[in-house]
Amino acid sequence: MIFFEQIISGLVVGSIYSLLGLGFTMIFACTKRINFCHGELMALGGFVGLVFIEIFPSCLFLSFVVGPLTIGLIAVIIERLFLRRLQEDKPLKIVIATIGLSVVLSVVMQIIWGAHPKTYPNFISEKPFSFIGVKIIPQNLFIFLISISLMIILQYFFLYTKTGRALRALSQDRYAARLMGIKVGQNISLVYFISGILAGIAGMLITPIYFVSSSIGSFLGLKAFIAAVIGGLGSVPGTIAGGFFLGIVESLSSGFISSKYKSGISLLFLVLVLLFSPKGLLSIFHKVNLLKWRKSKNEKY
Amino acid sequence: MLIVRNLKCSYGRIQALTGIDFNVNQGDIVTLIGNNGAGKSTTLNAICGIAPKVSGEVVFRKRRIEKLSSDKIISLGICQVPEGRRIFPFLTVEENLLMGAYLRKYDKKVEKDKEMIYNFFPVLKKMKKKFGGELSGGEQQMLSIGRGLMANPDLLLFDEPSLGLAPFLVKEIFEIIKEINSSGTTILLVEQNARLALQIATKGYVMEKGRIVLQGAGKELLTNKEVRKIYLGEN
Amino acid sequence: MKGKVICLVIVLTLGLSLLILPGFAMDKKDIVIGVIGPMSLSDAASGISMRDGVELGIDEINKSGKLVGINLKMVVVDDEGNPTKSISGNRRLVYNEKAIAVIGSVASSCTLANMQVTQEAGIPQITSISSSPAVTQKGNKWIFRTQITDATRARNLVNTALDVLEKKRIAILYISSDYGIDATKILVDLLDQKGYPPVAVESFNEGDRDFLSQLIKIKEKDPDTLILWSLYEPGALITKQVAQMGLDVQIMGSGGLTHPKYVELAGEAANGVIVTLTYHPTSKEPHIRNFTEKFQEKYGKIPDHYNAQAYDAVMIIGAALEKVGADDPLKLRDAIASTKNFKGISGTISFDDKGDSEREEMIIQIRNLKYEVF
Repeated sequence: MIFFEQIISGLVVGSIYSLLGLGFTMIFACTKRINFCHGELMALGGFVGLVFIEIFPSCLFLSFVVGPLTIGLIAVIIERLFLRRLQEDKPLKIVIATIGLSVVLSVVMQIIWGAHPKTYPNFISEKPFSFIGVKIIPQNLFIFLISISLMIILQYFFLYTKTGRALRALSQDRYAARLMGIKVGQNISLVYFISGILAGIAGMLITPIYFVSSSIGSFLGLKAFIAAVIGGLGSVPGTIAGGFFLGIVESLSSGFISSKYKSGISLLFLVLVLLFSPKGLLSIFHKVNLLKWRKSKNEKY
Repeated sequence: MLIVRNLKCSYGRIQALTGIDFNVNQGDIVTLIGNNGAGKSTTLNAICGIAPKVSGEVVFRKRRIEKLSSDKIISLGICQVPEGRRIFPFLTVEENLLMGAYLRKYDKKVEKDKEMIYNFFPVLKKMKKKFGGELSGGEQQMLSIGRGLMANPDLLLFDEPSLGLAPFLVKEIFEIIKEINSSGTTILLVEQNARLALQIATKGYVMEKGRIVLQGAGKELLTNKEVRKIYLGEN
Repeated sequence: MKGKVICLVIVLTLGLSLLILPGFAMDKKDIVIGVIGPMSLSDAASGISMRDGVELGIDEINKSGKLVGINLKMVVVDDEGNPTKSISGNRRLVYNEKAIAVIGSVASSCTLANMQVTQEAGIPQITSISSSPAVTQKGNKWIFRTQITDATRARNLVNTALDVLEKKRIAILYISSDYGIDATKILVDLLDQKGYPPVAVESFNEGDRDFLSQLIKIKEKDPDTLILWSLYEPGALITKQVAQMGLDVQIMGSGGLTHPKYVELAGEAANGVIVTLTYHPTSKEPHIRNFTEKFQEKYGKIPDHYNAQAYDAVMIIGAALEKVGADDPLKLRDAIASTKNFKGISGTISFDDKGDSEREEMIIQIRNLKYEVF
């Protein structure tokens, strides 16, 4: 039973990792760049959620819509103002620029909301209930269900809608996508918008259970990035799997080995994956990757 | 149908096109031949609106298009089948075709065009649930052409369709190009395989270092001494 | 004519007296007490608590007139909780401001760094907040503290749990940093000595947010008490998660759980938690009540133990100055070192040979989101 409880607690953390990791993955897929201020956007999501919950105390749902949308817009503004100019440049520039931005964002949050962590009451009751002998905490179930539904919606969007298909096309061959008439700039902004919304929702979800502070972004952001790399940066199902995998590994290793080695064990997995399956764990099951698809070098467009 | 006047184009400091002029008439197959780096692909990209820093005039059906964005140009009826096929490797064959019709409203007409392409290339129909990256070179070229046709273009630009294909496949592809042309689509063909290209072309232009150095009817150029020596490898 | 002379005399006397009077005031020498600590950024609240306590103490000393010819003056330097800035800040206090004694800093890392400056210069320093045992284990004879060390706090917690609450099955959850590791070693040793070895000892890393894995393990061992050695943020998270899990234990906590933000973050879940403190504003002893009232009057808020410990630090310096004057820092240091049974606000303080003052604390329980005497 203790084993199942550990698995469940891993699934909850994992769903947050997945949700955040998806932002890294989408942006990486479409721009081949890593947005290191993604974690800070999540923290910002928590703080902005806090503001909206104070503005609309009676309507939680409204805050859950307006808050993440705000973060989506902020992500688009960041992309348009700063990152777009660097988009065509060397990848290292974007890495440094986004790391710099993450510091700026966290300082700005510290100035506005102070250095102490903040929280708001749980959305639903704190009393745990038993399900076939396993204790389940409603708040955690809520987080898990919201994350899962978002992932399903996102997966549906990418697989079956015209825009989703265009984004996939764009991520695979930007030049060919332009030849099809796909507006690259607009669609990249869209990707930042979606990833911002996900970060915003993640931020609002974690605030009651983990608190929000100006420093939580870099911490959870890094974990989510590791999860995405383990599962396969650039692959939506891979990232989701990677998030849950990391959550469960962390939970089991602190449950059955020692929490001291928790981070070490997850990093060990990262190294193993990078060594033996650099495209992520899930690529083992993905036959197309095994075709050794040769990406054209013509990246100019 | 398409008139190009004094078209110049540069990548950074490198001038890829130094001012070229040519015409494509309705129903023609026009070919640009020349060595690597002569500026053939750049010409196509400049027409499609995806080359940087274009100057000069490109007139399509009496409309200046050199300043338009690529999606506008595609909507007007110009589509390119790019060099190296450039199909989307992790999209299924069917999704690849639908990407070709990205700027069109997905309606019955698109469905009909898709069915038409499946009839035209039965092999694609057989593999429609497979990923583009799983197809062989020839199949990918067919998919790339099919994808281009899905835009329902009046002018289809081909960039090196024979590149990297086995000889018997090259013949097949050229047959397909002729067939597309005979069903009413005008074609601008860029090709290193000058002999094949000139054989099907109504008109040909020879490019060298960003300029057009020779022009004439396809058959005419085939018998031209210079062309035979330099591009057809004959003494 | 006579009238004019009288007028002149009066004017002259007045003028002279105006010249001389400030001279009399200047006869009282300004002696600087330096205060170093974070006045901005994340630890600002603790730094400001310290400053207020010192300020009140200096006011009292100056008003009492016990120090003949001396006017104490406070100079505050902000180290932002950064050890490097703490060193340069302390240099400024010692060499530019010529402080006779320094009080501070807040973070143990800062104090460990900046106390080398006062040692070099031969100036006594008292830290009223830093709690790391290392501070007084460096063989630095110039450093003292009115803060309870982690070792003392650990002993007080264990004694409270075993003797007062009569608990037997104790679990420990601690933060894997110097703060938690050192203290946990002491806790485990004490529990072993007393014959009630801990039933579970679990740790977590700085920055962790999810503690369910550890708590599930702890729950398996069926403890009746959970000693939480943690900073306030993870402490609040753990307290909440303990409640969510339905884990029925008495939570007892380290200094982190006395941070005002702790209750705010943990909310309802914090009710029932027990901590130990050197000072509580409801204390009825006359000299403590006197302090609480004066502090409230001056700052308009209820003082906390940080205020009390800083106040005590400056009062100890004041008592020493009264004995030996402000001429020789070494004499001053010896006078501070010989402090015995000083009736402070934060307990009865006697410095041992290391400069620590081990003492009993008050047992405090959080009830209705307020710290109350148990």
